[in-house]
Amino acid sequence: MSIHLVKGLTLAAALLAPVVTTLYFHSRTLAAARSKQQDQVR
Amino acid sequence: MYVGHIGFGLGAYSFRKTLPLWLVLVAAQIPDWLDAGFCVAGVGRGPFGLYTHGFVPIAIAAVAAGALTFAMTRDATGVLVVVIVVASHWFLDYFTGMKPTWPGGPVLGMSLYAHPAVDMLVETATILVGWLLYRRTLPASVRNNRWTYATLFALCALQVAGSIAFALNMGGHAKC
Repeated sequence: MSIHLVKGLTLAAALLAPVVTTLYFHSRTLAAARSKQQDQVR
Repeated sequence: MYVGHIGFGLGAYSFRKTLPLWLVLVAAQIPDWLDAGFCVAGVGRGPFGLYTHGFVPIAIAAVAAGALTFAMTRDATGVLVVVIVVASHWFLDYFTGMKPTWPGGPVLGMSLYAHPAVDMLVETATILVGWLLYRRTLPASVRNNRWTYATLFALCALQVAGSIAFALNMGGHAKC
């Protein structure tokens, strides 16, 4: 495997990490908001 | 700049929360994704990354991202937000590195990567401000939720890890 491929994929993984992390926690936050809203309706 | 771009994206999202969050975050990183693509393809990035971080490629990326945003949302304000987010990449990188302008033009920057502790402080502050703006878009019931704070802490942790990697020269200054 070429060094360019390794470096490129490493960079891609480093870029993906904060995006995926943010989207994951964002979805959990919104799920928590929906859950609280349903609790209030009940 | 590394996670600071995501911080800026979070802050920009707060001005148009009808935009898909993923779109704003990826828009903030486009020149770096071009770097990764050029690297995988084995294509040179040009002097100082001129082909990915110069004014011309960033302008092309801003227009492309704006067009994609318009096709997805039909929202002119949303397009403006995304275009600004793409363009912000150069200005944020100005603080951390040495960035190209145009072919034959000057290479500008403050090179904070040479001072990893200062770089980490600047990027963490950018993340914090962006997160505070983002937090205002959330329903009041979850603004102090553990997941909301987890976003901040996880981004800061990634930045610290990135800064340590740079300090140890693990990432190296040549991306490819």
